[in-house]
Amino acid sequence: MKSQLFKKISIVLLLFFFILTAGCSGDKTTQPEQNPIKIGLLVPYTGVFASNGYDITRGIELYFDEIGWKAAGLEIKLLKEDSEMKGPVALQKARRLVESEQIDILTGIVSSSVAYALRDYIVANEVPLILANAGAAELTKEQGSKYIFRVSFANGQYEYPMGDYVFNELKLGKITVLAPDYAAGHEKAQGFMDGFKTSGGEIIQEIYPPLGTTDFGPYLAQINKDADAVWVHFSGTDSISFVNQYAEYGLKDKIPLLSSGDLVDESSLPHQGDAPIGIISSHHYSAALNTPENQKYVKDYRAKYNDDPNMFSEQGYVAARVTVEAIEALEGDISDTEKLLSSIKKVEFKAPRGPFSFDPKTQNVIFDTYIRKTEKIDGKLRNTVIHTIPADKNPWYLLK
Amino acid sequence: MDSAQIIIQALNGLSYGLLLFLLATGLSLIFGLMGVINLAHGSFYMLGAYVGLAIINLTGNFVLALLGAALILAFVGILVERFFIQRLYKRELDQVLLTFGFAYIFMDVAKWIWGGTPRSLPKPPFLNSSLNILGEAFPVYRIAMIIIGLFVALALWLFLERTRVGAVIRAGVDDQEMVKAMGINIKIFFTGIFALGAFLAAFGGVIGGPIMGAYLGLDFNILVLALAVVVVGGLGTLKGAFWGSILIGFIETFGKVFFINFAIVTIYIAMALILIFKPAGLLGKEESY
Repeated sequence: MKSQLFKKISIVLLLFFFILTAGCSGDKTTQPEQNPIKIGLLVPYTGVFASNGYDITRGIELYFDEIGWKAAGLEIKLLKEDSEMKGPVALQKARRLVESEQIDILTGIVSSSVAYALRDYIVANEVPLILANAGAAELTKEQGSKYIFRVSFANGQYEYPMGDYVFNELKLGKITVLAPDYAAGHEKAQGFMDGFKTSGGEIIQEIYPPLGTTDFGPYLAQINKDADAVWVHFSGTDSISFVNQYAEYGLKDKIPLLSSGDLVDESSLPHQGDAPIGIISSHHYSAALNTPENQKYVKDYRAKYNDDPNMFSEQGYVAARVTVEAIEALEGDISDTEKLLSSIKKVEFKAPRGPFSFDPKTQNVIFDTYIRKTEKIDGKLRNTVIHTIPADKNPWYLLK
Repeated sequence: MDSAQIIIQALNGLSYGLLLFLLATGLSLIFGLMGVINLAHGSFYMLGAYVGLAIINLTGNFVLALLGAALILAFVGILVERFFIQRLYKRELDQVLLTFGFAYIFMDVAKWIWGGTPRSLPKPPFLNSSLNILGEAFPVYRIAMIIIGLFVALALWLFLERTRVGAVIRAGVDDQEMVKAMGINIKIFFTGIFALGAFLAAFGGVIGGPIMGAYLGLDFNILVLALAVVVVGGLGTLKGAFWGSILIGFIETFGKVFFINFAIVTIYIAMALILIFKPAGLLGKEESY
């Protein structure tokens, strides 16, 4: 009986791993059309980052609605797939989009791990990829390619300049860092720590819980009480659990919380109660920005979705606009991939976040970094911009 | 780590362990009595959390959600046992595969109804505060989890040790043929224990909901922990499930403190060591056939 139990458990565990890694396939049907522009959208609709996937989709569809789903007179077809946030699944879906659907451009990608998993396939198959979130830093550095563009951020890009602000403006010298234990978590934490240490600060503790942690209790109880502040990066549902539990364990009133903007993004704020009030974060966007472009965007977004936009929807919106402007500059003739790539690279406009352009060398986005403070105004939480670090003053750009 | 921190972490471990206990008891008793490892057991936990959330959204009442979700899932458990598992009577491996199939069906049902976005259950407002323990704050909700877990353990112990039905269940775990020879219809007890297991799992799903949330994949994540508890604690006994749960809760919590990057492995190492040195588990029944 005992050995039988052991055998059963072994069979079970093997089955788990087999099925969990095998993934599953999509089931979309297609009907042939006269040369529409086919844009593949690969984002998670399942898992920790599912809401981010939906938000990116909303941003993209809002822009396509604005222009009537036509670029240079050609119809735009958006083919959506769920990456499930797993590299192998995403690769399989990308293959389907590229090989059976013959997409012209691929966009989306939320998780850095998934972005790294797709990199070689994308480059080998010469598919233009516009990253709409994944900050996988190497993809616009050593592992960069003329096929890979990014409209969102590279991990570290808005974390690095915050280090200087925290040390010299907020006058905080000793920091504990927490971030999820996966590619983006480490890269973002490293970005902040590099910037902070370069300015003279001291990192006294680093804690990396697994991605998708729901119970932060054991990690929160470990935080060094000598820290002047705690800097964290958590995104998606992690950000909701973390901020709430940070308050529950009584840390909110003891040690100030600093973060990447993701932690208190507008997508998370409605679920965090009053816990985020007072958090200072750095980001490339805030729905509270007072520019005409952003005000229009927020108004249109509210009209369509009855909800506030957030970083993810803005990134989706920008990715969609980049695609369309590149296609229109070529008057719809995208048969030559080389021409399409150089046309994408030249796109420039005023986005809701501020001026948008690509760095011609790395094909990564260039943006101003906003230091924001989460406040409650008229019963609603918002991220008020308290300081702006212009792109040409951000030392991160000189690191490459 | 100072003593206050050790106490906080011990309370974390205890609350986590007692949550696992709610899940593992059912798994252990079902296996003890029926010889089936119910791989849909984690699904009852996950569905419990989702159903509980739906009831909270509807009524705003956490206690109602707790009992409602547990009763609904107990009923689902009865259906699964009566109409499917019982048809494969005495074919244990087929039954295990059947429950595995159910686990996938339940996951798809959850995805279909609630979508892929992870959700979190709101805490009941009267437990949404913190307690001061030696200068460290500790959430009241987790204290409540500990109290409820201990209360359920006590109730189950009284049920199994002090009632006639409990005596039959214990006898059934020890020697089923003899129970049948005495003219007792053991099949009724199969259904009953399966429903009780589903009830406790769903109960745990709601209790754990404000901390663990409700998301797709929670079913398998939690099932693996419950399997670990059963292997460590020993099969078919309440005592084994209880101490196994607390041990796994502590190993998991302190693993996150001392081996922060290897926390997941610590449980498997404990499991392997116990299988080597005490194959029946720490408090398992010795060979009973």
